[in-house]
Amino acid sequence: MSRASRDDEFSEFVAARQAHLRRVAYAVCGDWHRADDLLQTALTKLFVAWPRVHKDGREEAYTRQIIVRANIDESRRPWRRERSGLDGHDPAARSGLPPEERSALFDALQGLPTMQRKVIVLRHWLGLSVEETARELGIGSGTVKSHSSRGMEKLGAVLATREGIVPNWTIVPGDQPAPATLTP
Amino acid sequence: MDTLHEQLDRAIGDGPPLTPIDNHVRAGRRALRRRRAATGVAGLAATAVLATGWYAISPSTPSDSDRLAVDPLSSNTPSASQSATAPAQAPWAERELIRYVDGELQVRPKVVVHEHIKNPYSYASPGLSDALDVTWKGKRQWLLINRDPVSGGASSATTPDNGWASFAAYVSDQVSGTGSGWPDTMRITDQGEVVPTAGTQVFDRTDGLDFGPSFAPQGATSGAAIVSPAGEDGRYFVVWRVLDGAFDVLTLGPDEVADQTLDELVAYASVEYISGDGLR
Repeated sequence: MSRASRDDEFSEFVAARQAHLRRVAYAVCGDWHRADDLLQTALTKLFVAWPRVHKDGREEAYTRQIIVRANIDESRRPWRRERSGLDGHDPAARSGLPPEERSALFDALQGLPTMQRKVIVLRHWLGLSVEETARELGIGSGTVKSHSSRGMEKLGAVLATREGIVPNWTIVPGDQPAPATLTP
Repeated sequence: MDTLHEQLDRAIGDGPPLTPIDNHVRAGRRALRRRRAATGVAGLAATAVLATGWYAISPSTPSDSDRLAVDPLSSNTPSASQSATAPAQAPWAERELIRYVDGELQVRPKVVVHEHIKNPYSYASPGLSDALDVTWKGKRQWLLINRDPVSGGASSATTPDNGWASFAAYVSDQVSGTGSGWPDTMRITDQGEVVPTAGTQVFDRTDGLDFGPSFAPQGATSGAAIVSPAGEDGRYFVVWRVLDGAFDVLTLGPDEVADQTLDELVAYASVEYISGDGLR
């Protein structure tokens, strides 16, 4: 593979998927700067492995797996950057939900134990199957179901007791233990 | 009623502006270069180990004068470029430029040798060591290979001017085994302050890095700067840290620094440590 070919194909993939992949990183680590670093690390490894990964069409799964398997807890302390390009941006300023509601849900997600959080992200946000989630995280299917159940339970409990918010979500089919709706 | 997927999707949002794609491509190219360099050195080392076997069973103990298989060049004497044509006794591994076979230094065909320093380690026979300044496929490289019957063998390669004033200085640093081989640019005072060494020019500097536990404990003295050592124009990127009370400086030479800013280099170093690779 020529250098130009690798560069072009890789760039095309990054242009199409880096925004989504960084959101995955953010969902599991809870910090946009850290998410940028996780994504950079994953994409750098992808570039090196590009010929074999691209041939198999596994670019996204490969990159996502690096992100979700990263040892996030080791570096979940407050992250201070020397990089200037992101200065001035408020990482909490996210669009979509009113601040109190999005912080409650997202904070509850970030408050989960690592593996529960990752399972919730992969199963209930990305919509991966139990088997796909198990492969991605390198754990068994039964463990995925267990983490999913406990994670959903804790999410609901945290939101109900800490914020007084009644979670009104429904869940994707496949994980039976979590209730479809919760009331305080 | 919203699904959890929809609520999470909104809660996660889009975040700050994305890193330019070119940055990812550049980081990937650098990683690929390092991978290939490491593979090349490993291949050379593996061949050297094999050659040690041949060497060990070889009854001959060649003299300095006949150890370069073809076109031996006088020690420490820069000469007009010459092509050394090695005998095709065995296929050459990819990127393998020099090797020992039966106690002889062989140079890959079409490698142009500019200078050859024989036995820079001053090994007694049957030890072997050679340093060569070569060009292959248009790229100038400094090579060092040695074979010590006691401790085994090693080989290394670098590009000229990447931290050394001359080929002789590179060889001297490698052989002496002292220092990092890079110019001394930063030092720590008795008061714990990190300052440039005499004559070092600092272009940009930041103190207090958080590259994670694989770099330094949280709160340890650390920093980074772009500098030029005394008497040199080249720009070096230096990262320092204090580990167990010892002042440690890591350096990237002008080849790696190129026209990158301090922010870009710090970001690069951060990724290296977060990924577990590090700069060294």
